[in-house]
Parts: sequence; structure tokens; C-alpha cells
Amino acid sequence: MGSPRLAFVGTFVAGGLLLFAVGLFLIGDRRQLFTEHFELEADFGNVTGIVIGTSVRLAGLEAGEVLGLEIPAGPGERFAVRMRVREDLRPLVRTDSVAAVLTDGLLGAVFIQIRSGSTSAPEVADGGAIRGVDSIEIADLIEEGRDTFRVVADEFLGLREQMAGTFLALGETAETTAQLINDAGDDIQTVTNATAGLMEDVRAILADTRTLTGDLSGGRGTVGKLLGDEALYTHLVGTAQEAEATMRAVRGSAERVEQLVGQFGGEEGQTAKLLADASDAVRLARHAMSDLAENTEAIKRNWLFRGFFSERGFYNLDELALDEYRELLTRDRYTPLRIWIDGDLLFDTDLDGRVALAVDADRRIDEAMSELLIYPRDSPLVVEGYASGGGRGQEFVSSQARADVVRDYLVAVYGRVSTITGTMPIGSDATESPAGDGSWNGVALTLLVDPQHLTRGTHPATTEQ
Amino acid sequence: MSQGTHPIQLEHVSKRFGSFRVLDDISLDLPKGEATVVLGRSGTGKSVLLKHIVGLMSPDSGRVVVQGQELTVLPAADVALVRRQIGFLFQNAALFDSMSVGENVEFPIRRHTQLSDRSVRAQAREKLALVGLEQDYDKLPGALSGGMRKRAGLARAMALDPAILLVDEPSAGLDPITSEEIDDLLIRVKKELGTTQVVVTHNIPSARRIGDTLVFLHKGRVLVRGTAAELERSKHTIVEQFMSSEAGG
Amino acid sequence: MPSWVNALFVLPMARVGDSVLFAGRALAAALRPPFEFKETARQLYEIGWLSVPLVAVSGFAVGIVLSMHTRASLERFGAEALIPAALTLALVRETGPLVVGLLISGRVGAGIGAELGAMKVTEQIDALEASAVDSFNFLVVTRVVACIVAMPILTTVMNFTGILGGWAAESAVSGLGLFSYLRAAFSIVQFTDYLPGTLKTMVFGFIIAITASYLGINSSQGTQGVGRAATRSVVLASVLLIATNVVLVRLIFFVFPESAQ
Ligand SMILES: Nc1ncnc2c1ncn2[C@@H]1O[C@H](COP(=O)(O)OP(=O)(O)O)[C@@H](O)[C@H]1O
Ligand SMILES: [Mg+2]
Repeated sequence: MGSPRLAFVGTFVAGGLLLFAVGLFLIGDRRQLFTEHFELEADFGNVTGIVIGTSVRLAGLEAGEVLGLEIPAGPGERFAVRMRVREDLRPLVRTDSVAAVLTDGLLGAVFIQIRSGSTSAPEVADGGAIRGVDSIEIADLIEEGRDTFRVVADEFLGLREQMAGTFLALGETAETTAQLINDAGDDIQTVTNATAGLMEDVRAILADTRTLTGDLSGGRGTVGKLLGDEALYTHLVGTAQEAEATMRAVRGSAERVEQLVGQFGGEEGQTAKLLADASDAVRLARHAMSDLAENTEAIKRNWLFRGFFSERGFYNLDELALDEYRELLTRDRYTPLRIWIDGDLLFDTDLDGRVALAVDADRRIDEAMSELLIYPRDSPLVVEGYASGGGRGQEFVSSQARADVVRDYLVAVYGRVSTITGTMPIGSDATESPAGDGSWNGVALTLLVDPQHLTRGTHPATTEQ
Repeated sequence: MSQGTHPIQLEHVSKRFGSFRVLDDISLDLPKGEATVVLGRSGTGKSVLLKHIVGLMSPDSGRVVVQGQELTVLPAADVALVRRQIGFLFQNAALFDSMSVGENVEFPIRRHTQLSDRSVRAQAREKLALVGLEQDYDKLPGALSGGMRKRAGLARAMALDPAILLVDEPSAGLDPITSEEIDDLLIRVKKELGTTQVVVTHNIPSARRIGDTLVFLHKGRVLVRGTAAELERSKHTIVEQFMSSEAGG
Repeated sequence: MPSWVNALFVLPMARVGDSVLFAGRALAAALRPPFEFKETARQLYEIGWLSVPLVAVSGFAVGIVLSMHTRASLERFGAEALIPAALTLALVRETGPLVVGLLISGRVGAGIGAELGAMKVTEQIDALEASAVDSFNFLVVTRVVACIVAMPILTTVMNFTGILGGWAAESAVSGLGLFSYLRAAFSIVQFTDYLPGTLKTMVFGFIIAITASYLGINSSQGTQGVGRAATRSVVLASVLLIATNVVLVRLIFFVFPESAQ
């Protein structure tokens, strides 16, 4: 046995063991065999794809694995899924945490996602249980929600008329009545709007879910569809929160209606009945709205739909009224970054009398844009048009024309996506304008930046060019 | 007939394969330091006899006592101790195919001594030189002729300078000159080391030269035992025929 | 006793009994000194190292083929992302161990059968014994130990070259990088897939070495007997291996219920 041969034997055994260990490591890395764990249970109506060893994630971290499945005693009952979760993640798992069965990139491995609970809820005990949500249920909830919205809208419209009639018939003092009707009316309007908007989304979601499912059975890869922008998805969550806030207002109105019923109770049968109807409607609406909130919450849990939202614009700038736009800017969802560009050097009037860009305009716009290019390209950008001189009508028309030329330039030259590049004719009023006199003549490029993308302090919110 | 003077003793040894009686009540005492030549027709059990002496075969009845130890009742470890004192040249040499000629000769030395690698090689080379194969140290057995294999086997059998040397047909397949050289080698080893030898051969001139005693086996029995001269005087036709065939069979 | 009883039952069962004793003896001797370290190392070289090219090349090819098959089936469900994991799972749990087992019973089983058969016929085994060497320890135990040690290592080689082959096939189609592939490959595999699958090949190694050694050492006289010993070693070792595998898989599922999922 010569030494080269012995060396081969050594290579064989050592190399083999090393390779074996590499395999062990690649697996061990994933399964955290050597960390401490606690056990947890969640119930699901549908356990498709869950097996012993299915991985459990929390906030994107590998948190553990499924230990076992308990089959329910009878139909209609839920499966209990026993999981093992890393002990160091326990502070994040609260009694109000929710577990959902998700798929890694739709067709990848199935895993269980645990959402960390709220700070106020106690930590889950070893062997404790949390609520499980089935992804299939979310679709059901949305379908259910759509009916709910319709009921809410109809009932409220009816309620408004009834109330108006009732209060007038009662001959209440004009002020109180008007006040109440308006309050209630506003609430109803908000709810109706929110509901209508949401219904549209939901309808689209359902349509899209169907295409997803269709694609799935057709065998085409759909993973790309699911990779999207979180911002748009969170918008839906925002909508839901809005709806919930509105609901609170409605609840307030309902209480006032009930107060009224108390005040006028028994005085006139007709009135009492109407008011009773009204309060029923309000109560129904309340249920409906909490359903809405719950359902939207459920959507939030399922990022499956995320990609869908990213493909649709979450608002349509063309439909935005000026004060809606102003209101949008005041929300802390976006930080508007405004670059003012003076119109005198920017625009020319062409032979037909239409507004056109001046010779040197591209340089000026480019300069202005260079300030904004550091932010995500998918941030919405609004070209605000300003024009002073002439009547209000004239100002509006030319500010629209000016904004349009600049927007077209941005879309053509910068490849801005047209759905998130809008125009807003403002006229001459510009409280924040660098001119200092509360007016502006030209345009302002307003980029709506997600605050988390702002590098704090390095950029002023407005710049003059 | 003490053990000291007779390192190999067979007492009423019988061996049969199926119904075929190969050894039939054989008793032999082979004196120390002498060469005993075993003669007999092919298939009379000469090789079987040798294998009994080294314990590769056990008698159905009777005793085989080598170096004072009865092999049949000895524990394996002690049989090994006895075997270390025996060199065995098999009829077909039985070289280890997977080892070179040199490694074949080194093998017993490495197994049973603590010599350095260098001394082992030196000793193996020396034994190969005795049989004229020093040039073939690194060849594989497959590359050797039958006669060369025989000589390499003999070198291996002598590697540890054993007290007992069992040699099965050393000159089969050898030219007369080499055959004589082998005879001389066996005689020299016997003289210098006092080795007790048992040699199976069909070569009568060779048998005369090396054999102190000749044993003629026939039908499982010792037909005649004596010196070459004594055998020549034997009345048995078969022995007469054998002894007169100078070329060997 | 009628002769047919003898031929049909007593003789075969005697062989079975004999070989079981033979296996038991080998196992006992493997754990008891004296150890033939040098000869074991030599066998490890012959059985293990010299099998690496065969196993590596086969593993690579198996990986490519498995990849093409998994792609063909998973593509229908749009689950291309699962190809590396599915391939690795199949390879590590069953394909790797079994293919290595069959390859080695071919290469090594035939080798041992023929070598020991030839040694028996040409009295080399007797020569070993005559040199005061325990031929069983020297020839059989060393091969058994070498096979038991070599099999899991060769299986690991097969697993990794198989995954490499899978990656080669996959990157040709989708251009996936090796490290992404490896990460995906091990994303589903569990210890309970990897460990028992690899370690059960020690049993395969034992079966191969014992079967071939038994048939080799007991081969009848003549070169024909040697050839027969070699052929029978391969056939019997392969059959025993496949049959044992059924039992082993069942046993593994019993011991590690997770791996049955
Ligand atoms: N292991 C064995 N099994 C069965 N028969 C054997 C065995 N060894 C030898 N024989 C038979 O014993 C007889 C004597 O053989 P052997 O001693 O080799 O003869 P020779 O005298 O030519 O050396 C032969 O007929 C042979 O067939
Ligand atoms: Mg013979």
C-alpha cells in the first residue's frame, strides 16, 4: 500500500465526510435543530399542502415547522395544526396572532405565516393556540363583503330620506334638523363612496383571482404577477381603515338618532316607527361596516393579491378634484416634494396659439427632474399648472395646458408611467410659492414620496428652479 | 522417536473425500533436519498429505503432530504459531495475484516480524536472488512463466527461514538446469539452517539428489519407505517403473 | 428423508443458514481485534476511491435525467420553482442510495466474487492460511468494512454530482445560478430524508460485500466456478439489496414518521 494510494483513501473518506457534512449543514441551516422551541396550535378549515415539516415563518423569518395535524371529529370542524416555533420569537407571538397558510410564490412550497400580535395581548403560552385563517376563506369573505356593501349603501340612502322626512314632519327647529341631516348625510356619503370604491376593487380582485386560478390550471407561470409594490397593497388597508373610521362616525349618528327617538318616543306612532327603522338600519350598517373592516383586514393578510394591486393605479388622477388633491397632499401617507419652474422661460405659444415648450425648456425640466430622480420611479408625480393673468377661467385653461405639455414631455422623455403621472390645473393661487406673493406662474413638479424613502434632512420639501 | 527429533509425526491418519479414500491409515515420522521425498502417481494424495502437515486439512481420524503440537486439537492462535515455522510451496505456487513478486515474498516477513521497511525489502530481495528472480521484484505474478512462479513461490516459502519446508513439485515446469539449481538450493538450505523438508516430486534424479528418505505413496498407503537405493530394490512393479523413469512423470 | 425434500428444502436452507452464520461471523470479526487496517485501507481504495469516477459520472447523468423528468411533470403545474427541491428529495431519499447500491453491486460485487473465487481456486486462500494469516479476517472482513464505509460516501458523491447534474440541466434551460440552485435544492430536504437515506447504504454495503465474499469463497473449483461466483454475486447482491431496501424504507418510516410525508 503505497502512500499515494493511502492519500487517495484519505481523500475519499475525508472528502466524503466533508461533503456529507455540507449536506447536513445545508439542511441544518434551515431546520434549526439545535435551537430551543415552543409549541403552538392553530386551526384551519383547509390544510392543503400542510405536512409534517412544513415550514413556519414569522415576519419573514424561518420560525419553525409543523409537527402534526389533528383531524377534526366531524365535518365542518377545523383541523388543528401543531407547530414548533423558535423560542426566541415567542415575544412576537401573542394570543391575538393569526396564522395563515400561504404559498411561496404561489406555486412554491406551502408555508404557515404567523402574524405577530399586538403588544397589549399576552404572549402565547407553550402549547397555546392562535387563530388560523384560510386563504380560500378570504375569497369567500370578499364575496360576502360585496353583498354587505350593497346593503350598507341602500340602507343608508333610504335612511337619509326617511330621516329628512321624519324630522321635517316633526317640525323640529330648523337648525337642529338641518344639522343632523347634514351630519348623517355626510357620513352616508363617505360610506357610500368608500364602499363604491372598495366594491370596484373587490370585483377586480375576484376577477383577477379567477384569472390566477385559470392560469394555474393552464400551467403558465404566474409568479411574476405576485411580485409587486407593497405601497399599493397598503392603500387598500388604508381604505379599510378609512371605512372603519367612517363607521365610528355613523355609530355616533346612530346614537343621536336613538336619542331623538327617546325624546319624541310615543308622541306619534309614525315617527316612532320610522325612527325605529332608522336605528335598525344604523345597527345593520354598523354590522356591515365591521364586516367590511374585518374582510379588508383579511385581505391584508394575504399578500397573494398584492401583485394585483400593484398593477392597477390606486387612484386615478383625472378624476381628482382640486380640493381632493389638496386634501391628499395633507395626508402623511405621502410627502410631496415640489420643484417650482418659472413659466416665462418655459413656454412659448405656437402658431395655432397653443401652449408649447420653449427652446430651452428641456434643460430646465431636466434640471428640475434631476432633483427627483433619486426617489423610486413608481412614486406618483403630479404636474401642477399655474397661470396668472386673465380671468379665473382663462387661468384654469392655460394652467391645464401648461401642465399637459410638461407631463407629455415627462412621459415621453423620462418614460414616466402615465397612470401615475398626472396633471393638476391650479390657476394662480400658490400659497407656498417661492415668489412670496401667494401666486405662481409656471408649473410645479410634485413628487409624492413614500416617507420611508426620504433621507431625512438632506432634501428640502420644496425647491425653486 | 521423540518430538525433538521428529518435528512431523503422522499417526494413523485417514482422509476421505466422499467415498474416495485418499489417505488410509498413514503413519509417518519425519526426522529433523532431513529431507523426505514423497513419491507416487498423480492423485494419490501427496498434496493432501502436505496440507495435513500445515493444518489446511484435518484428518478424519488419526493425529498430526507438528513441532510437538497436535494440530487437530490446537486453538487457532496456536495453529498460527506452528504455521509460522513452516514454509509451504504450493503445487501451483499460489502467488497472490494482487501483489508483485517482491510483495509476495515480503508478505510473510511483514506479517510476522517487526523489521523496518528497508530490511523487509532487503530480505525479500535476498530470497528472490536465491531463486534467480532478483530482476523480477516488481513484476506481477501474471507476467511470469510457470517455472518462475514456482521459484517465486519457493522464495516466499523460505522468506522467514522456516524450520520446516513443505515443497510441492518444485521442478515441475522447470528446465533441467534450473531444476538442478533448485535442488542445490534445497540441499544448501537444509545444510545451513537444518531445515526439515518434505518434497513432493516426480523427478527421480532430483529425488535421489535431495532425498535422505523416499516415501512411496500408493492407494492411500505408504507402499515403500527408504533410501533411494532401498527403493530401487523394491519388488513392487509400480515402484520399479517409477524409479526407472529417469525423466520423471 | 425423500431426496426431493433434501433438494428443495434442506440444501437451500442449509446454504441460507451457512451464509447467515458467515455474515454474523463477519460482523463479529469486524468489531473485534485484530484489525487488518492496511488491507482495509487497500480495499477502501479499490472499492471506494476507484468507484468514484463511475459513481460521479452516473450521478451527474442521473441528475440530468431526473431534472428533465421533474421539469416535465412540474412544468404542467407551473411549479418550475420546485424542480431543484423535488430532484434533491428524490435523489437523496431513494434514487441516490439505490443507484449507488446497484452500481456498486455491479462493480464491486462482481470484483469481490471473482477475486475471492480466483484466490480460492488457485489456493491463494490456502497460502494465506499457511502463512498464519486469518484469511477470513484478511479477505472478508476487510472488504465488508470497506464496503460499509465506502457506501455512504459514494452515496454522498452521487447525491452531490446528481444535484450538480440537475443544476447543469436546469441552468441550460433557465440559467439559474449554482448557489441559488443549491439553496432551492435543500429548501425542502429534511434530516429525516437525508440521514436515513444515506446511512441505509451501509446496510447495502454489508449485503454486497457479504454476498460476494460468500459466493467467492465457496466457489467451486475451476475458472468456470469463478465466473459463476462473479455473476451470481451481482445478481444475488442486487436482488437482496432491492428486497432489503423495501424493509429498510418501511423501517425508516417507522422510526422517523416525518419522512413518510
Ligand atoms: N478439497 C478436496 N476435495 C475433494 N477432493 C479432493 C480435494 N483435494 C484433493 N482431492 C482429491 O484427492 C485426491 C488426491 O489429490 P492430491 O493430493 O492433489 O493428489 P497428488 O498426489 O497428485 O498431489 C485427488 O483425487 C483429488 O481429486
Ligand atoms: Mg499434487
